[in-house]
Amino acid sequence: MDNKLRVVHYINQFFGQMGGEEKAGIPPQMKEGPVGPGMLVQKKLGDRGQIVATVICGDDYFSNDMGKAIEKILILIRSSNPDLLVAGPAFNAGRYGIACGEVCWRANKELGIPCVTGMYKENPGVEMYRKPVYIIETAGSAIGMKDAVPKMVDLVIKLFKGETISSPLEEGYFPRGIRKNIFSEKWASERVIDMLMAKLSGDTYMTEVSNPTGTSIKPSSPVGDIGNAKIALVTEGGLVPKGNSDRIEGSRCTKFARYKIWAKNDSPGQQFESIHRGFDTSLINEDPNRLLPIDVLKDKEEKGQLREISPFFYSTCGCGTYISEAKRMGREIAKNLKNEGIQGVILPAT
Amino acid sequence: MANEIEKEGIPVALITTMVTTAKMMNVSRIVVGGGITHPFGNPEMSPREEKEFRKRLVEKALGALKSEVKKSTIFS
Repeated sequence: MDNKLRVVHYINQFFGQMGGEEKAGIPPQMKEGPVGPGMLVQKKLGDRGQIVATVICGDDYFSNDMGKAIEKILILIRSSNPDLLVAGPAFNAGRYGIACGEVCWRANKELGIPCVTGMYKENPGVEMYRKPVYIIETAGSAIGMKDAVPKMVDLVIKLFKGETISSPLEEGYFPRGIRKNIFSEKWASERVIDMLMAKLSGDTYMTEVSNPTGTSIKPSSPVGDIGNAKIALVTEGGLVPKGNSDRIEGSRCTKFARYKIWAKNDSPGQQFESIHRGFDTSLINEDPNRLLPIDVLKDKEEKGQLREISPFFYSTCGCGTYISEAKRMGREIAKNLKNEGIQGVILPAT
Repeated sequence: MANEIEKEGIPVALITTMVTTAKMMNVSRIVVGGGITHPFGNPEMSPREEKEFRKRLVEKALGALKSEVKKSTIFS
């Protein structure tokens, strides 16, 4: 094989020409040389490398027991002693995308070899793996094979050679959430004015810091009859019983807790405090009703204007919290609320 | 978090001052709050006025929960 790089290619049963969904249960296996889209990968590699083996695994087999599948796949990959690995591209195939992401992530971590895959932006594998794995953005279907493969091959070779990897936009991979300091010809003040002028005149411009965007969700149906509803309070304001015995973190929080609400004429400021490290908490500490309007809700409950205020509130701290953590906590809180028969939530955010 | 709770089918009124951010995150029901450090308060007011202010805000939040919305909506 001379000086050619040894490449292993990971694909699923479909691209591995074993069959469609009926073959999705096949366990990991290895074939010598390129198979299916591997032909194109090989063509693009040219003299630079050789696909020594193709590892094929059924999508169902992989997703049914990821732990077992990945171990078997890693054994196969390791046995070929590769210099680098290419997986997919998976386009918009969800199970396949997750498999490609997992294979790249683990092979990179455990074999220390550069790995690249490719997916369509809505493939769930993108959100799951775009941080640890280089994922080239592809079209939604195999029509995009010819565009995707050259980018994947070029990037993985660059990684192998230790060359500088340019921005996601230039190389075509999904942003990995890494910020890099670079020297710029112009001051930030000049750049921002240029950007503003371009925006005002309708020219194209590129932000240097992109904001996270929310995925669109379908609003749930409204509460039919508030007078007959059980309402709960949830907050990220970091309100906890004094002393914070649950040790809810004041920043980059990963925990939430459920606490009993206070009675109407209590002095909640003596029992609760906010441990949020992202704002001046003194006003809330003075009167926690400024965060959770329990006094007013209790009045309304007494007057029969709502059936019940939940005896518990959920609290976490939204300060530098990772969106992934917030989502997870949100999901867990939602599950609890559902079990408690809550019909509506008031969520004060600081 | 609001979106994850909405996904379970429970409507959420998010009380916030950072309306633009909430809108960007596509939160369904956004209610403009009293301030970052006091979403349900206004320390400039007398205690009685403040409670009245809080009551109005709670009513706005309950109103939002009662409202049918098709997309991210701001209740101001």
